[in-house]
Amino acid sequence: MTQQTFASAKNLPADCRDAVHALLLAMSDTKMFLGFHYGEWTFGTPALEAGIAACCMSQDEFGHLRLLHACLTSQFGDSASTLIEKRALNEFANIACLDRPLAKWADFVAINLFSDGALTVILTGLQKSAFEPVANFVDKMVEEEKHHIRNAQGWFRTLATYNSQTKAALEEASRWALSPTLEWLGPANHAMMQTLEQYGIVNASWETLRQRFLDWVGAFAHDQKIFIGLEQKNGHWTPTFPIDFSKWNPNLRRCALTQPDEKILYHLRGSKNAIFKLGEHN
Amino acid sequence: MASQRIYEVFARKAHEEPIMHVGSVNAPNDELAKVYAWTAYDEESWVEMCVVRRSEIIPVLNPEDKPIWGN
Repeated sequence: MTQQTFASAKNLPADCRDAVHALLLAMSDTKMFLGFHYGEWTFGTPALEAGIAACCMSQDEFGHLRLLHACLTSQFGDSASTLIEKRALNEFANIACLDRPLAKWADFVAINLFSDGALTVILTGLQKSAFEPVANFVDKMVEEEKHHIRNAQGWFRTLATYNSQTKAALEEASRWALSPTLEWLGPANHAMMQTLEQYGIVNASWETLRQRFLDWVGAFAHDQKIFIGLEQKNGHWTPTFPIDFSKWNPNLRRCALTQPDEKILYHLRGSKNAIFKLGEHN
Repeated sequence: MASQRIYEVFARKAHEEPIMHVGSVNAPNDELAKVYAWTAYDEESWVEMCVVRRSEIIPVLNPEDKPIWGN
């Protein structure tokens, strides 16, 4: 049977339209905060080349953000104002471990692995999407994300084996970053995610995508002898800690009422330079 | 991080062109050398890129007063 495709958001059924909008917003918010942290870590990295790589990944993330915002603007009626400027802090749907400045290099490596890993799993799930505006750009993003994953894996292996201090810092950072990442990926069988699968927006069930992330990151960390809070059961990796999804908000992809640091938003919005935003009227 | 190695980076823009030396990177291992080469020398749409540990290169001519690869 040929999969029905949707040339624009206005052709999507209402429930599916809301689900796609929420997912794209969560992805663009995550990419915006990820791009900010990568950009900040252009300086202060353990090596000059690591700073160049961080800066390069920041450019990629902001490039992806631009594509996602263009899609949200043209398909869903959003605007730069509604996407960044006028949203309240508690309306951002980024992965919660990106809410605050990163304290140390191990935190950078952890968010590089988990956040880019989670985004990549969703992006691969969106390949050949029935929603054509997304299908048109997702392959480019997947291709660029491969380099982010290679950077994360390279540093993860390096810190895991360098000495006991770097290994301990990496384990601590990984356990800190994993839980909010899984929260952001969400529960396996939420109605909103089932809608995305039902209309062919994603090419697999959400349970499959979520498990794909867990199996990938669980096996990788295990190979490096780093305990990140996952254990293998019946051939699959599962968290050793509980995640209470009873209060999970599908629009924010968070279980609790957390929100990003106001100072980060101040920088992202360019608030300091508001008077130079040419052509915009207050 | 300690034990950094120098890697020379080679690339080509088209399959019919010869591969050429485009620069070097410092990295603690081969895996990060590949990432750094890609991110540091991304000014072109390369069709091929590779890195070689400088220590593995056997010089044929090696003027003592001038490093072959620069620094």
